[in-house]
Amino acid sequence: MKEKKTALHISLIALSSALVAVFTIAVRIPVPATAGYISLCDAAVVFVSYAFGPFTGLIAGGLGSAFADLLGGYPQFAVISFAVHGLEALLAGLIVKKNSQNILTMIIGALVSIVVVCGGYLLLEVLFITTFSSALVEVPMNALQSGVGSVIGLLLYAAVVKGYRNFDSIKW
Amino acid sequence: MNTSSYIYGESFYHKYDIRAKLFFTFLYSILVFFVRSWYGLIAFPLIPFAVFLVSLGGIETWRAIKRILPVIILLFLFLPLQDRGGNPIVEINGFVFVTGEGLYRVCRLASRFIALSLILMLLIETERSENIIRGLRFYRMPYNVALLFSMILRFIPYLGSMFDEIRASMSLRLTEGKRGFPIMPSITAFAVASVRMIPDTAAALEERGFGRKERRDYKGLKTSPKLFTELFFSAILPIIFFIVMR
Repeated sequence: MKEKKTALHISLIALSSALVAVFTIAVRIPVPATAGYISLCDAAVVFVSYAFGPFTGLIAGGLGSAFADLLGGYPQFAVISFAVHGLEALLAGLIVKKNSQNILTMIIGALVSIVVVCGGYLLLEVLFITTFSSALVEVPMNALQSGVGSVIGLLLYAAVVKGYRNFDSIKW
Repeated sequence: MNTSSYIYGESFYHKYDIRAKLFFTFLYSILVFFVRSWYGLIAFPLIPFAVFLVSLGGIETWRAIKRILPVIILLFLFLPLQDRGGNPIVEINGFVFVTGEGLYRVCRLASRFIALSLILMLLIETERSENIIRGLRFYRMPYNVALLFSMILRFIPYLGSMFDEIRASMSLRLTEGKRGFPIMPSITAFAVASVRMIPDTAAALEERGFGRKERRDYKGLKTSPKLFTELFFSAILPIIFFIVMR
């Protein structure tokens, strides 16, 4: 029985991570000023954490964005992306988990995502990669990406719940 | 959609054993944080740069540099804001533009960023991802984690091509003369199709004997005297280089 559950957990995390990675790689707008890019990564991260809970979100959000960085030619950001998007998914999932139908908690979850993404990238890049002033340049783009991504993630979650009836059977 | 970063080649770094390569990358990435001398700051990014050039050629090296160049330019653009209270080097009309401490700090960050970026790019561009997972298994990565990573790497290209098909079919629904694709319908259809695959994949794993006690790896890495030589050099060269250049 335990192995059966583990098989489901591994499939759930593998497909969710691949989903996050494809969202990140497929829709990508380069930002020349920072050598980075804007993507739909946050939409997928928020969707996964709302749909499958904070723990799946933590692993799948982190792994998916890290794999996207590795495959997309930005391996130096993989560890930072893993930490930031993992934490983003965990907190968003924890906030929304208790009352998933309440729109107010979803908005709070989205705001927390923006704070975590902007603050997380700023903090970790200053600690390991760059200076405070040059890391600050990325903040508006990160805020835009996570803000738009959170809204799209919310809409996507609502649409998928309607579109796939057996949704509850595959939760962690 | 590009879902693999491996570039085929016959260079010495392509042929270098993945276990030694992983160890070298890990060690080099740690040592780069402890370099303090000016010689070290110049030499540490130069080594992966030279290996990159020899293994992957000029075009790929330029592509890699192009990806990291904007961050380096940005670092130096904000140089006047660094360590303003330090020893002035460039001063115009009483305004200190560059201090010695600020310049050193930015050079150290730039050196670390270039070295880290190139050494990591070198790893993933000269080795197939399945070999990297096998190498990590050698360093005792748990079976379930290795399985998870393999599945993610298998699903990314598959879901990527599925997304391309959905996007192409959705773009046909646009009115004539319009370009692009409708984002929400495309990603919703894609997410539903991906979520539907989860129970089937779990069932397939069980059918293939997941959880069985006697597990065997599909393909293993061979151990030869060459591995020990390469592991030895992967350990000793970065350490000697660090001691000389730090």
